[in-house]
Amino acid sequence: MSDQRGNQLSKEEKDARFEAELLPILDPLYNFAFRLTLDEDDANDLVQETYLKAYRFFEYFEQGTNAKAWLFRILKNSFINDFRKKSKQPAKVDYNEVESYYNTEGNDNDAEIATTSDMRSQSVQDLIGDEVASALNSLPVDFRTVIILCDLEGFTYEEMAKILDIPIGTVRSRLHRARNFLKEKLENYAKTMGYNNTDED
Amino acid sequence: MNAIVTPQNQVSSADNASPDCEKIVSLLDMIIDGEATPEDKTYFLTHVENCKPCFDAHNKHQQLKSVLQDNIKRRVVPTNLLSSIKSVIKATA
Repeated sequence: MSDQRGNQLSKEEKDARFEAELLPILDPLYNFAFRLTLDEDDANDLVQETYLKAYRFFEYFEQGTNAKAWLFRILKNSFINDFRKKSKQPAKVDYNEVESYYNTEGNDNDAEIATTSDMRSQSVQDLIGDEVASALNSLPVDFRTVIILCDLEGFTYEEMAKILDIPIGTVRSRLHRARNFLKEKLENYAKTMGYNNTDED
Repeated sequence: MNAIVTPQNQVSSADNASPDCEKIVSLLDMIIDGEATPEDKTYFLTHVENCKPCFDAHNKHQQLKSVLQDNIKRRVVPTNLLSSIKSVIKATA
């Protein structure tokens, strides 16, 4: 309990406003955390830490401004400052994701999906999905981040520049390089699988 | 990794890409992300009408974006995460 000045919010008011404005962003925020850490527990911790920081600095948040970008920025900084130091390992392939992906799709049984010879069946889509996810996960984290923000979360370049604390020009060039990396990986994959997605005329 | 020549490389090296084509390549990201200025968009559209390699390069770029959007599955937020955030906040002065 505190003797607040008139223009300050009571804890109840602050909590209510915090919940109304920032908690609806939990889903994209968790997804961002997972794509950065590639680990469920780390993502969980990172999101909690982000919300706690956001709560502490809530008075600096201007109501009605871009709450999503604000939270993403906090999360990204927490990730750089804390998590990257902790985990020295390079991006790992997300086997859990591969697994849960198969389980949720569930229209074929696993055995069938596992046979790579059956390239023309439903499972092709699943294999492509796995390949795309692991290609993305294998990118250096700075490249992965811009792809996630732009293509998966739909941020504008300007928002990305704010979230990442870099100039828009850097956002652009990073995105361009990230996409070239991905393209190369996926094109090589497509070739080994006998696809050639060069354009139909 | 390996030295496979991608179709894109072939295009840019074999065709001696003109300065126009180079400009298009630098615009591709902004075009597919909806960030290009109206002038750039017009420039792009006029150019690709007559330039197959750039037309293809754009398709490929667009395709990559769609492939990501279609294939990267959203993760489900763990059920207890929301409640634990709420209780941490309640307990914070």
